[in-house]
Amino acid sequence: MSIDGIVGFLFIALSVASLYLLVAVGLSIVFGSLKYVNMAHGVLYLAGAYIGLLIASSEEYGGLLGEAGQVGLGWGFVPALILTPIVIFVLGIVMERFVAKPFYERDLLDQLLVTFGILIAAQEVVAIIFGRTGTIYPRPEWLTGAISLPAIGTPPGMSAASTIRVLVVALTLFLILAIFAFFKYTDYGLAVRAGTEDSEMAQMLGIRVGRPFLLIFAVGSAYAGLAGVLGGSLFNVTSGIGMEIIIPSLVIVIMGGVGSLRGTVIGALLAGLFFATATELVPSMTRASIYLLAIVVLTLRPNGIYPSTEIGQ
Amino acid sequence: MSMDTIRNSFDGDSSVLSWETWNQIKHTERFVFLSSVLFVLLFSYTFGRAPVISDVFQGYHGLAMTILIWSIFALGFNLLLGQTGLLSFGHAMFFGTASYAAALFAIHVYNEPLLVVLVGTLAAVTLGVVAALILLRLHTVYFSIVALAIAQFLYFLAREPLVEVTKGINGLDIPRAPLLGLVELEHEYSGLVGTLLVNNLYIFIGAFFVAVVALITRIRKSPYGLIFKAIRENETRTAFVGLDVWRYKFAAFILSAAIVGLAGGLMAVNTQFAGVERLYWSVSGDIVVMTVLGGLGTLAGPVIGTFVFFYFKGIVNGFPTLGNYWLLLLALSFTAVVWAYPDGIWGMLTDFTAALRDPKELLSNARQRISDLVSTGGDR
Amino acid sequence: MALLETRGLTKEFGGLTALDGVDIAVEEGELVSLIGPNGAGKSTLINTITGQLSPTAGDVTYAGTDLVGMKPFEIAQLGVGRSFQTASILPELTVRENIQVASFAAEHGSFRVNFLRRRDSFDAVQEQTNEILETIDLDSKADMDAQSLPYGDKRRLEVAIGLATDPDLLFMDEPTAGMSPTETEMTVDLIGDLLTDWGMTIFLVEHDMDIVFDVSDRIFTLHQGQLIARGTPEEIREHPAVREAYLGGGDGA
Repeated sequence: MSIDGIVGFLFIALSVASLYLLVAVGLSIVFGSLKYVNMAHGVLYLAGAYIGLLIASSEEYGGLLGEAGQVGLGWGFVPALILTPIVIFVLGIVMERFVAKPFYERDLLDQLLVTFGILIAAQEVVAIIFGRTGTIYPRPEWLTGAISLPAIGTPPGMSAASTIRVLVVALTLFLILAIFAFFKYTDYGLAVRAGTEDSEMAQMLGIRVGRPFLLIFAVGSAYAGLAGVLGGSLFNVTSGIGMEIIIPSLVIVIMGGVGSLRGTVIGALLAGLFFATATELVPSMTRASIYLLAIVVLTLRPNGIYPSTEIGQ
Repeated sequence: MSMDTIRNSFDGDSSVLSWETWNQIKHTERFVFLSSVLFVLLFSYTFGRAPVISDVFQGYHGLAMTILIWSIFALGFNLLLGQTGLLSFGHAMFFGTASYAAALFAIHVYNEPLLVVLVGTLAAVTLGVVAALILLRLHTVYFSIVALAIAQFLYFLAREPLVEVTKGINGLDIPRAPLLGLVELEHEYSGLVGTLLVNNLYIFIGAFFVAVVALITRIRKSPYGLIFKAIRENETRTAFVGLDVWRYKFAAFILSAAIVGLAGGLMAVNTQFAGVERLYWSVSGDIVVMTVLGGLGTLAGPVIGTFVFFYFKGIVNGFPTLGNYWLLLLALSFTAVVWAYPDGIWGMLTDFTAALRDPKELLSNARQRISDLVSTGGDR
Repeated sequence: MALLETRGLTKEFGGLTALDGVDIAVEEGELVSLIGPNGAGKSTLINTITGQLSPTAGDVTYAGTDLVGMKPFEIAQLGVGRSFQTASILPELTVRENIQVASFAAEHGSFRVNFLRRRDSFDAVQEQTNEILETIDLDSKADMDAQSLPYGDKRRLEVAIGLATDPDLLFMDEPTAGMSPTETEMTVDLIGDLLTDWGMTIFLVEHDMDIVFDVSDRIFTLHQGQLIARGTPEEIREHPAVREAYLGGGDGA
């Protein structure tokens, strides 16, 4: 394989892993710390994609907006990238208070069922408002084609990696490092970690469902919202993408080991690698690959790659 | 309690025609069997052709058959979730695989409906054995999500890599073949039989429906019915009384797979088609919605849930304005049921009829429910 | 040979030693009690013997069979029953059904293919269930949901489930905790009946020292994972290490 081929392969793997990871990270933290499994997390990705679209461009939609002509602010991609996570952060707070919190003490299966219902309902709302046909993000000129630096031109090998994929990977890397730093260096992060490792102790200290968790829930939401914008520009945007992203993301969290952020990162990287390898070698297996991976991993290690908590045992 | 003693008590004194007698009758196997026969006899007619009522339902015969088949699916799913407490989010794997197996057998080997359905069932059982070995080591949500992963894997596998066998998104067409080489399934009757049952295909499907209801009633009345519930309630305790929980879960899983496989095989015969969409997550999701909405752990619940689901999908869908909202309405009702009324529609109906018999209790229950909501709303 | 015997039984959790080389022997037909302050390792000992935990080192034998590595249901099938400390009942099943589950396990082993046979055709199971309902005095509440029982009745049902497994050796983990004086007295009487009429061997974990000293043939004292004393109630009452570690130096409990 040429250097172009290798770099291209790596960026496909990493960009797919990044998208999954941005969604899975919030899911993983909330599942690990609050013992709350949230399929409605997919709503945040879905909302991110559509809100980003409304900010970035002005489009004609079907559905209830069919008569409205061009809808959207049309401010461009970068404002969408910055503003969407903020909007979804707020949506995350609302979700924590009104959807998640009443269910913290309920059965895991009830949580799964209720959030599944919410996700399906939200997808239908989007379909009714925006129509059922898909849309694609208009990509600004600087995001199309390969990356090019003013001083040295296109770096060696980089001609194979599209700028959008480089952006996705770089952003994700930064955001994941930020989460790890948050856990390591801030009081809130320590509080959440304490709650994750010893929820009884944390409960006694009265920090279990307190502000640190609300914050981390909202941050995880914002990440999923950002993933919606990025995923929207890599793939397409339809009302069904909430479910499409949440299935592999949940699979990755469980494969990595619930309660282990490290496991989620490794799980997402493995899924990305598998995806890129399948694309290269057996293209027809591309979309089946992540599930095959998960089945094999969980057959060998029923508690995931990094088994740190044993929920429901 | 046998039917004879019931009959005797009927003959004796009119006051024994009490709620207590009724409570005993309605749980007998014979009553359940006769009710399911009666249901099949009247369902298509009431739903599709009865004067006045059918105008309300705006139903039709084909939808009635679809509902019967999906009811079998829901009953099989309920055996696992409602009885044993295992939530599979991937039961499409059995429905879709059985459909494919049935179609492939009909196309390449021998096309006889009974045999075709049997092959579908066996294929689901085989898959069930493999899936159980992976899934039964996992608990609660792990079990649910990995079941979904297996189903999605099979979906994408059938869609592209196995396109030679499955014909991908085009699916497989099955020619109609006579039952046992003799009876034409599409033969239509006249007279009363024609009015009630229309054709042999309906009788074929209805017979399986009655058989599945009878089988499940018997399982519920066997030691398994009790032990499944015990596992649902407290797995550890069940193990400590000396029961091999893994094997009982395995049995529940295989029985469930077999019944769902039967539904998948029937679906292939009914529609003369098998396609990849029967493996898709939305099929798994639909069956969860139907079963939970109707009422978990009961016999009538899954059937009612299936009916409501298809009423929305097949009929409300066609309404002007409201039609666009059918799935949203269903999803919201489902969410509301899980949130506030876990016994589902059937639970509401039984609570309501019980309350009609005893209005005082209704009042106190309502008070209790409200005070529960207020208090839990406060500290959660 | 002793009915139940542990040799050098040790259980470590991470760096913490919960059981440290415990040797006990229980003879057939006797009632032994296990006492010790909170955190002494009493629950760990029971959990390790009954298969919920696997020991880090040491042996457990029951009637000559090595129990280490066996699953809880296999150990239960050998005749080792257990009633739990917190009422570990099946809440949405009726009282009768709770007992029936255990009766089925006792009657036909850990697994049997009989899903086409009706429950009410198993006469032996029905009989045993009724007998236990009577013994434990819950027959008037047989058709109530277990979750709607008052606390004391839940505890008795817990014991009843243990009994219905038809054990030769029954572990009872604080059977009287939270019971009223009358209920406690009933339970103590029941324990006496189990020994004399049912011929069981009983392994009791109990906080109420009056009961322990009253009913036990022998007493084991556990302290920080180690067995510090064993003997008859009189010997234990006077044992200096026990008084030091447990009875708090003289004034009893």
